[in-house]
Amino acid sequence: MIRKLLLLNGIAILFAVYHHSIYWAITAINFWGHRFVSNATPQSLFSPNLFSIFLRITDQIAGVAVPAFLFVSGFLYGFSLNHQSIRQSYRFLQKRIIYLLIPYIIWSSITVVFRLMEGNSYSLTKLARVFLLGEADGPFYYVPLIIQLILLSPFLFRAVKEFPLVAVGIGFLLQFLSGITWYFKILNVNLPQSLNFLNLFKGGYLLSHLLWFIVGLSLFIYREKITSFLKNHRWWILFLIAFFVIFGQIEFQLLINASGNDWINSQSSLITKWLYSLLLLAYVVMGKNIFLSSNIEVLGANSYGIYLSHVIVIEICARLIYHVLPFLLGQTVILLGILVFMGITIPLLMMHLSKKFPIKPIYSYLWG
Amino acid sequence: METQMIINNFILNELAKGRKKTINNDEDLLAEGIIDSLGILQLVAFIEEKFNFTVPDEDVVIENFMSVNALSSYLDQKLAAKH
Repeated sequence: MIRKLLLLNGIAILFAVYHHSIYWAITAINFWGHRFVSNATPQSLFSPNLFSIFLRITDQIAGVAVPAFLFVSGFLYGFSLNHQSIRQSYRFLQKRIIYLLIPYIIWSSITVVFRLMEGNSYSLTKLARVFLLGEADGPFYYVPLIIQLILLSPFLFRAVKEFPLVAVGIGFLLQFLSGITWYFKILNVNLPQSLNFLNLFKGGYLLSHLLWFIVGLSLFIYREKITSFLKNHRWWILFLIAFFVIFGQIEFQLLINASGNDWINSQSSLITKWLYSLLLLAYVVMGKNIFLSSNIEVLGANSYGIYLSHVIVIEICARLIYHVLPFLLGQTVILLGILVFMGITIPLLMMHLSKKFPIKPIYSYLWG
Repeated sequence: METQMIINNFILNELAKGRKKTINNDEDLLAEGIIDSLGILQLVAFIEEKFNFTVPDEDVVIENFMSVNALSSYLDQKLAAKH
């Protein structure tokens, strides 16, 4: 079980890079068509077909990356906090937060400089949001989120130990309530007065993501009970996964039609969130040997550094391809392959080089 | 003694990532921030590969992974029982 978590972290970072590469593949199809088809008009190249459904399904599943990181973190913080007083816990957490926060500030700053070079501007408020809320780029929200969870972890650990079902139930309820508000937002509908209280659960990631950290903590504390329960119900879990994948696609299409958007980020839908929980539970009872396990474990061990740096690497690669090899923009599978490969290997190479040069003493401040 | 050295070297070169120049075998690895919680998973993977034995889930407790000494005495015990 323990070693499978390192593998899960590796799978999660691969999924994260794939998920963010899809953004550029869709951009290429929808907006850069003129670079590879002479008479292309925006969006004329992306009508629903088997391939776009494949992209949607893989994108939906790849979105499990952040829930998986939180799940693994929950388990590991359970390990680290077990038998420790609140005071001892915070001593350890303080060090942990430093090594999360400094690389995050460095990579957020690099992203801001990159955006400034692209001609964007930043007001003071916007800059504050960049660093406080993780708005340098899409994936950066994860860092303020995990720091909030780390700060709460000594209390969550005790809550899960004393009242496991209540803790999981509260996590589920908070996710459900914040999920409902997303549907109103995506459909551009104001909340009815009777549901005004839901505004309390709107925005932020803590409430919608807390459940996965709690489930990770629960798995650490009640490993045997949970594993044997899941083994006995594994066929139900697989059936529900298949059901939620199909239902998620139907929901995706219905929401696209109703909202008038070209694409929606299905990670925020409740169906998809429940799918992620089921995928994580299924992983707990799955066999541990998969193709290239040990290589994926290496990715798992370096996941934080890859996570922080891959976004900018992918963007630079996509823009280079736009200028230098535009014909690749129309070859979505090849484009995705290149972006994922570069998004993983370039950060790994930079990390490797950082260990070799005199900057090794600051390695942890760059990559966590 | 050899186990201690192998573990110390691995932690120093692969997990501490420049956070420390030397590691005292009694130092609290987590509390001192020498390794992070993900480092525990890497340690388990390393031990399993290097010593060719599977670390049971129930043995992955902070007491066994707190320091180089704690980990090496846990390992010595397990390896002696294996032979």
